[in-house]
Amino acid sequence: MSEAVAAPRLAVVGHPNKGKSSLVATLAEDDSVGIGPNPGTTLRTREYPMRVDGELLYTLVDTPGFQRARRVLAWLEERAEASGATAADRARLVAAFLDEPGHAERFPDECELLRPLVGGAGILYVVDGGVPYGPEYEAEMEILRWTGRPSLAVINPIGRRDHVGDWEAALAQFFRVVRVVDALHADFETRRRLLLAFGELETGWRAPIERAIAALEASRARRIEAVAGEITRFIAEALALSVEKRLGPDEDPAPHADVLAAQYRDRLARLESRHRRAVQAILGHRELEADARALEWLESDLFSEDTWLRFGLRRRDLAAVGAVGGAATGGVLDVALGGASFLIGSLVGGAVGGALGLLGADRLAELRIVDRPMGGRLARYGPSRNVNFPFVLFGRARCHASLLLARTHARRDRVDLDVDLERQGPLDGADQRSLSAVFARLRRFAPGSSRHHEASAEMMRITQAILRRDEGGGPESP
Amino acid sequence: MDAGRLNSRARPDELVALLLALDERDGQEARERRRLDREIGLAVAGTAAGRGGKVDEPLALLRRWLAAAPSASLRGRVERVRRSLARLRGLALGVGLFLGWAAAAALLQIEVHADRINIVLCLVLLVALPAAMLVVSLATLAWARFREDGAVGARAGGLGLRAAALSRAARAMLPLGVREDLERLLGRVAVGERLYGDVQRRQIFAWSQWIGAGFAGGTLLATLLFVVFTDLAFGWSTTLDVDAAPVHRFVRALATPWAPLWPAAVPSFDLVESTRHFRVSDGAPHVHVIDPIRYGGWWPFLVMAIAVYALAPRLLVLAWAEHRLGRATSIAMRRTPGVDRLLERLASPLVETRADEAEGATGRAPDGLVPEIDLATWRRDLGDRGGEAGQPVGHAIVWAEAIDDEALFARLGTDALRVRDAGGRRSLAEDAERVADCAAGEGPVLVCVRAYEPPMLELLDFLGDLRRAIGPERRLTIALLEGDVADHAGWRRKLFSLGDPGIAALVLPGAAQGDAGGVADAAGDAR
Repeated sequence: MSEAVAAPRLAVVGHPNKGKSSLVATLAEDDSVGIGPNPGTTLRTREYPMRVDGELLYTLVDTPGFQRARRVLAWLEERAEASGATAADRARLVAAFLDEPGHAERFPDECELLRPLVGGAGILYVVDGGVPYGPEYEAEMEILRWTGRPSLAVINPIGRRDHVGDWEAALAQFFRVVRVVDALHADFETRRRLLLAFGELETGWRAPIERAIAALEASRARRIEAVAGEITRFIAEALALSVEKRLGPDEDPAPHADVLAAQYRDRLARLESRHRRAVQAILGHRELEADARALEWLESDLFSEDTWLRFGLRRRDLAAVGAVGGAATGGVLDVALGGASFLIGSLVGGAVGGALGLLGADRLAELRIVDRPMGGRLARYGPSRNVNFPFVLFGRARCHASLLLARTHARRDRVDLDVDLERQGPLDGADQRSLSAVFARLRRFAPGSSRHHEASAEMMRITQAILRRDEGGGPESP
Repeated sequence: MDAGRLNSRARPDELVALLLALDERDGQEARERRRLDREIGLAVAGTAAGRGGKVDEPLALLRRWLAAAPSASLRGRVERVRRSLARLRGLALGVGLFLGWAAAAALLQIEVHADRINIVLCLVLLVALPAAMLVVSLATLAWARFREDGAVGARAGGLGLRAAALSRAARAMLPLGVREDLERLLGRVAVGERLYGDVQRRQIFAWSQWIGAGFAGGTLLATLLFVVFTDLAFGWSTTLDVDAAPVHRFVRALATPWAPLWPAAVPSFDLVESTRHFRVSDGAPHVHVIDPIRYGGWWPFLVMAIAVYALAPRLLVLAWAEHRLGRATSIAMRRTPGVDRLLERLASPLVETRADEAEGATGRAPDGLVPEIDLATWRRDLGDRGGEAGQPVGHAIVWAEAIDDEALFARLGTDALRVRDAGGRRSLAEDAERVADCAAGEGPVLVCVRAYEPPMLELLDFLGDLRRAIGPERRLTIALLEGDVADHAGWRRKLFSLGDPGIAALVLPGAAQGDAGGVADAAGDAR
């Protein structure tokens, strides 16, 4: 896996605390980027290479902010004047600044941020469009101009957009391309357009950037598919969920109802929690913390009683055995009568045998062999039969997934799923009908069977389509 | 690999290997897992390209992954599982052979001692009973299949006898390590019987067919050996008043499958009629004179009956059972949780955007805060200094054009300050002049900054120079303009890092942050 030498490099530079790291986290989809409210969180450059199958297509470089820009500019101007340097020599002077003894200690931030530029990186200059333009930015923009590197400015409106216009006017004097990108809320399309703008900065950058964009789009489509698969798995498991307790032949199952109900809800909650973690892992939001109300309960009585028997015998099995045995016995009579009975013997025998098998299950459960009961009472809670149950689960899962699909990796706030659940648009009629049919099939057929598998595949397709639509107008807006 | 289109077959040990290997992969970091799997995927794609671009079907892809992904120790475990399963199959065949041999030998031996061997009894015990058992086992499987496609909650069971119960016996015969590995599979069956129940059921069914085939084979072998090494005398008898003709028709019908191939193995009417015997005859005890040629004439029929009605169906069902086991295993492998994602990792380009290295040390804010004073306190301090009316009693430095003079005076409620600019567009030399001015004068010094901008080292350098110039006794106050509470706290923490006990922060009331631009612009215009 070799790395192309000419892959574009973009150093994200600017004033401290203006969202450089947030922009990097969003573009690199990396929630491990250190982002903090205090200025100077980033001390060292950190590289975010974008590779497809090991081939480097571009690299983002996060840098510390300027701290002593006027001093650096003063040094450069003084050196230029002393050496009679022209504009053509400015980039060389910036490189000389890095090589000057003592500068690495005196200007650690500037050295860190200028080194990638001297090494050939393009400039992505980030400012905050939520605060007014100030003259203190001019020194750093002038230094960047001295590097002679292709540049692009991004206005990142942190919180407010009050001064975006002023910034656009100011930045246009220093940068050929100026974009407004809210680093915390940029959707995929915005990120794609920004990457395309990178590709325009220098000859030869367009091809790798376009390949990178195509790979990112395909990767996103695969992740949506994987999320749809997770949602389907979760709903299918929840629909089949039940908890059981085997009791002795003489035990009353009723007192166990509350315990089983609690176990059922707990397992359902754990199922949902596991599902959410899986979705977060797929979408790269490993550090996410979410607030959500517990599932509101739709049904009060999922409790039922049955009989359990050793060897996995069930009432229906006994009935089947009884029916076959009875039919065989009746068949002997039919044969003995030379068929004159018109198979009445078999029919009656089958019916009687089946009924005896059905009724005999309880008696068999009471039987003891080597002092061990052959069966007993079975207390069971679930599975849910409520029509709305899968829709409620689906709504929560859809809200969670859509929210994460729209959420950038720069955000560090907690997610409140309840707020977003309320803002989530309802399913349209066609989706409701399709889902209703597929939920019925998931309930009807045993998990693991071919028909259940087909129903799961169908639900995955429907979910994928819904998530794609949600992506266009997700529940979480900036 | 949709179930409907799936025709490929897999072995149960491959399924166990897949589960173990997936578990092993799950223990790896997600990024590393994706990278390793994609490397395998690329290697497989490279091989496919060498074959003219023929893409592997999912099962073949999984096999290639299983050949490359597991660790050496896991391969050893998988090999032990494979060998153990093969031994279990051999054991099933051996048990069947022994039982078949024992049953046939016992029957023939007992009958030999009784002078004549009842051919009907032989047919019932050695042919009809195994055939009936075969039908029962098929019905069992069909019932289980029917139950499996039923409603949620239905359990697969063979006339109530669950495969899990049988499998416990099989497990007990395995070495401990192999048993643990297999229990991963069986344990998952116990969890829901969803995915692997069919495999387990079909594995048990296949083993039962190995026993059945062994039984039929043992029966046939024992019969042949008895034919060769003893003198068997077959006959038939009945208490009922049955003529030899219908019996002959019956046996001839039974012999239809092999009649064209071996006519001698079809009993003749004469053989049927002449080998009927009675315990008594004409009121006196009957003394038989056995004609070995005549009474032994049944053996080809018996051998062929065993071969055609007991052994052949068993072998056919065994082949079918192994085929269905392979299909069920293949489907289970494809539907195993995590396989979709594995196939996606193998087939999809590996897209990496995150940093290679972990985040290093990040900047930490100082632990303390410089004291904050209110405007009244600051003004009282300024007023205490007295001074002639209209004469400045202190200094103000406006950093980076943060505010114009009039606005500053308005917010402070006093104009008894000498105001100078520094920072921003001013040169370093001008900054130095401001410091010198302050040093030359008297009274407190107020430095005005925009609090929504972060405190830069450049400003801290300036404050350090200023303190050194004015000496430690004079009050140095930083006026925080605009910003919010968090901004103010950030400034106070950063100023604390100067270690200057004579510095304080003053939050200046005034326009909200949204209006700050206007103030700043006005300041910029004014200068």
